[in-house]
Amino acid sequence: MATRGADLGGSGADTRRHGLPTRHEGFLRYRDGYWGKMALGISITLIVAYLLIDVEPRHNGGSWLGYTLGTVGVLLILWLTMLGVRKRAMTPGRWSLKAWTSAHVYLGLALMVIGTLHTGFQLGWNVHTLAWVLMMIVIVTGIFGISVYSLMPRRLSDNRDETTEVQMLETLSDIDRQLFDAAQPLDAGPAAMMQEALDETAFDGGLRQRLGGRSRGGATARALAEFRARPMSADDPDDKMYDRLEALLARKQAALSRIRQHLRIKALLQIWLYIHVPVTFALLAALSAHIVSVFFYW
Amino acid sequence: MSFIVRYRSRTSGGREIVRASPVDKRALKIGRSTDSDIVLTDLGVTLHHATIRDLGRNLLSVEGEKNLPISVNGRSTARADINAIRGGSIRIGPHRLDVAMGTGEEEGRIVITVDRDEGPEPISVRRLFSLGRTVPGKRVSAWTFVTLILVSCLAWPIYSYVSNKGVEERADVFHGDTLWISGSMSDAHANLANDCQACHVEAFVSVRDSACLECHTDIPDHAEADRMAISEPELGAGRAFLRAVAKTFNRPERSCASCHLEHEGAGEMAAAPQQFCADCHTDMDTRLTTDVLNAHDFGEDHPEFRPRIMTRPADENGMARYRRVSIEDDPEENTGLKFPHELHLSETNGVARMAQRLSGTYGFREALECADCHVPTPDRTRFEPITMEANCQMCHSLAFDRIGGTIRTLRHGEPEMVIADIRAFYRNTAPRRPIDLSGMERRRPGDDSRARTVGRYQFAARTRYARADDAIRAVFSRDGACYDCHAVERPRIRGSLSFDIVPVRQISRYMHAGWFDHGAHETEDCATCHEADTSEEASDVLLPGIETCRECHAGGSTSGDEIVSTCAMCHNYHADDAAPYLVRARNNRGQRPRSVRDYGSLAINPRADR
Repeated sequence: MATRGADLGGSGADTRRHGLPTRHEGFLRYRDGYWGKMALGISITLIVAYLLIDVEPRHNGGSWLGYTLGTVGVLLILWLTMLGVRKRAMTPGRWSLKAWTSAHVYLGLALMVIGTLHTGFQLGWNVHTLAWVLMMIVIVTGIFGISVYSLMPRRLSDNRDETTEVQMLETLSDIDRQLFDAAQPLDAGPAAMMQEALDETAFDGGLRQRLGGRSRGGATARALAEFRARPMSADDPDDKMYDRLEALLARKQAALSRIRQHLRIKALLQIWLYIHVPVTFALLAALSAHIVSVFFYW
Repeated sequence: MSFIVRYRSRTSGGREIVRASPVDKRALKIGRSTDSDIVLTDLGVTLHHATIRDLGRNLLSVEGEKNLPISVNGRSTARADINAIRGGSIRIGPHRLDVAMGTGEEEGRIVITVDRDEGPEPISVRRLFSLGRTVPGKRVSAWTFVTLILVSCLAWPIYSYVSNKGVEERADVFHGDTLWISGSMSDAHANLANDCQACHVEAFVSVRDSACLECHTDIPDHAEADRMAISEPELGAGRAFLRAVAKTFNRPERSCASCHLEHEGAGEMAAAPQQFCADCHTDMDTRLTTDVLNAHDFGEDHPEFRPRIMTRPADENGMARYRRVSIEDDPEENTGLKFPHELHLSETNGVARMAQRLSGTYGFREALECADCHVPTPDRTRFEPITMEANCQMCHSLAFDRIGGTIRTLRHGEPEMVIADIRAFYRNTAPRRPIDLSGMERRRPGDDSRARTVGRYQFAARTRYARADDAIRAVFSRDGACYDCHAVERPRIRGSLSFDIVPVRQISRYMHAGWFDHGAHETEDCATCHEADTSEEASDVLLPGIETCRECHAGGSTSGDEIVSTCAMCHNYHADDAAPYLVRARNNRGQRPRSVRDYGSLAINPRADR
């Protein structure tokens, strides 16, 4: 992460292009939230239409309004899915990726209204509701993604404090090497403890630990606590070595917690996409089943 | 204080080579140029990159030239202090300078060890820091989800359909295609919830009427299909478009499922909306020649009621004649009975007096009331027919003789029997014996008067039989027992005594195109709608007009506290004798009857039975 946060809102530094001062605008503020207004307009129009159009005996996906909403919804879903293809080709201008992303975000939010009105609020344990639930999961994870994208990069940057990931790793390995050198005179007991501390990395643990960002009772922390509790005698020749070990362990601890925090923020930034994307494909499958089933048993 | 600079490198075999050289300076220049104190051979390092100064007391300062960034203890900075006892490391490009206090021979000196390592690959670092290693890959999970869903929600249901095709009754197990159910079945069809193919017979073919008629065999149609088609109005652009779409997708028009929508939740199946009726019945006369009048809303556009009334209880063939007449046209009916309601309901006349006298026996009150004669049918929708025996005879006695304690009455409903009984009466009974023919008479001189009396008596006894003719005539004539209530057919041949009675037929249902449920109106008095207490003739049709109904019933929508009354409250789409859908579906009044007996064609003792 070489940039200082992905500034989605668009308060970034001025850049000059074609001699004109242009303010950076993120996809959320693209064209003054053009797509946001568009999505809001669509949603309100549809809600009003839903309330005004009298479908007997009650709203459902099989009325003309239901079919219309369903068709619009499925086309929108397919188009929204195309962002995965589109994002691999960046272009500027009206049809820029930024415009596309902005539309993706806001029209995706409008899809929540379209899809839900399509159901006519008739939900049950069936393939149709499965598709709706998957759609809502995709949209909610998307909302989560947007939120972390606008909040987390700053925190990521603050935590990183101008070091790169490579530097973080290098620091850690430097400390490890120094620890290794400095720990040579230790007795068997403390040496084993030191070995455990050396073996500790920030990348252990599963998803929960990644998202929690905290390692309880890591080997480094234990060794540090142990060494600090060691009784200090007046003129022990080992004192100097223990001082140095303590200092190094403390540094390792600090480096570890920085990396863990870094991992946690990165995990938050990434995790939603690990749901958003696969569930999108699950949604496409459920949508196919939904559409086939509706016309199969018409 | 001096430094020892150690250059450490590795052979390809991994062996470590260390070259150490002491430098006795207070400041060390670091850079690529050969006159530097620490030479770093890398193009990423400037000729003079940084300077290390000895600040004394084992403290060093590192300073980048011209603010060139250097990394000290993993932190990018332009300047930093390092305590040699605690140690530290400086990174410049790919080089790492470890600072530590010397030990052994180098005691008291600061050792700077220079390593060159390339550091981890940026790409592998990115992979290490990304989430990819801790969670399943997007591609893997996407494929997993897609496979799971397609198998369970698409392939399995289709398999269920194929494997159960042509099966008479599905096995009572879970079938995959029930995953496709789009909403709960209505109560009536709840038993079909596990058997999709009961209705969805062919794949990709919408439900056909044939599936419904499989069970619902006795549903009459609304009208002939071609007439229904004619009566449909020109569709607006929107609905024409919808119809075109439906046609394109081979969806039938005017099918059962057009109105009866299933999968709309448990409970009763929803009634068809009023709009469905109004589509055709609004201005229908402009499209169709029919005696059905236009209507589209009970409150706004509905013709006056046209009950089917009886114009003759019996024609030449003994059949009743009926006619539909609008209430506006003051219809007169002829049921064959003479019955002034006003007379019977009066509270001041002889009828009322008689009711009071008989109240102990029959439970009458101060005067007769409607309910004294009109008894609801068991379903409470209509009323049982009036019968002589149950409703009239307590007052209108047909008694004519007493034998011992037994009263003989004329046979009601059988004029021939009445005639025969009267004849029998006069044949079998003698005239009252004159007092002077008894054994106790006073003797008077001469037998003349006695002989006259005997002669007169004998004559009377001989001719008594002929007195029956007069009695018969009297019974069937004005002020006679029959004539009071019935229309009498006089004998065709003069002098004959073959009197007959015009049959009485009663109407139990006037509104054959609509449905009226008396039970639903029990909160009201009879007189609210029926003006019986002022009706002097039996020919009065005592039905209320539409305005009376509109006092409580609005149309499809209401602004006040009137009752919303859509078409289906009174009318039945399927033209049978059953109660309309809304009445049947109304569950707050308990189960409504599907139909009731209709006495419209019932005559008391029809001639054919005699």
